[in-house]
Amino acid sequence: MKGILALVFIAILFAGCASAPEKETGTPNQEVSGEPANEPSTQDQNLLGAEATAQQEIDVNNAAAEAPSGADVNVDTAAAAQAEAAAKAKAEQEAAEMAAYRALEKELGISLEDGQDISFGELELVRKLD
Amino acid sequence: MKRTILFFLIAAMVISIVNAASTGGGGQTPYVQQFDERKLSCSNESTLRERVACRYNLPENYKELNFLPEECKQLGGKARDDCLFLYDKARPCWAIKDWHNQESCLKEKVWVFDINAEKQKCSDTACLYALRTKVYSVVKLRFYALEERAEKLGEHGASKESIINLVTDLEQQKLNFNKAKTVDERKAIVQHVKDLWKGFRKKTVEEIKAKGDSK
Repeated sequence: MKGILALVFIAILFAGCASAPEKETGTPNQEVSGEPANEPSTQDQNLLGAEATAQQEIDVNNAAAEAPSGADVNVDTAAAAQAEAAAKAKAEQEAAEMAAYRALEKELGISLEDGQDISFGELELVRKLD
Repeated sequence: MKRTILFFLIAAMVISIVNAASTGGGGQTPYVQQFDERKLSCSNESTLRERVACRYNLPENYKELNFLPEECKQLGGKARDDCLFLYDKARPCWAIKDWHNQESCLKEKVWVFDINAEKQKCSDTACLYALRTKVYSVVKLRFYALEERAEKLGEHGASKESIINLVTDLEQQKLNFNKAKTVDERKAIVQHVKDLWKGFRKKTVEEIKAKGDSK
């Protein structure tokens, strides 16, 4: 098994070396245009510019994938604030409802509590008899 | 003379056979119902909701039971009698407005006080089962307490429709409670009852307010 893996690794390494571009000393364009060998041609510059732009785009995309963007952070903060506001509104509504119940209880002389909570404990006491 | 003796012997045998057949062959006398159900109304309507609506129209009576409770309707023999007598005994508790005093009244009627202490005192299974039955009775009477309270709220503006809906649901929950097999199932029913009351309370307060505003 190890032998096979080693062979596959060597084959990949060999294939990689074989397909690697040879170090160029000049381009056909340089020879035709007579531009200095160490200066890239206009076409090459365009190509290099396009490559650089593409690389920049890749970098930006990678950065976007790796870290939350400012927009994401803003969305999260907004969602948290919205949830907090909703919870606060709910709590306020419940408090207002309870205040209304208390006032009505006082006015009618009738309890509006359900009074059922005690049953949970009592049922628990007889649980073993099930 | 011989013929007379033979006749008496045959007659004695026939009487003993008839007697054995009428008692189910076990030698026990059949249970004779003690509770007089003739005074109970609202038992012939075809649906639960119709029976509840019929009950709602009965005059309030805190002295004695005047309708057939749904869970008693499902029972027979001594269990039916026990159920009816319990509801009858609990009647005076519904006249008590204060919740804590009403709770004490119910426990007194069911004869259950300190459940933990009573549990410790039990030395056999029969005692424990009897205690469990009493606990279940108190739990169900608490459901019934909500029915009574809903009806009282009707005097202050809660709609008949809302009250009948709630009472029908609570009666159904008592039947479900009796069918439940585990404590967890019973606790889930208690939670459902709490939710039913919460919904009713919210709606009722709006109805009472609306009625007050329109005056």
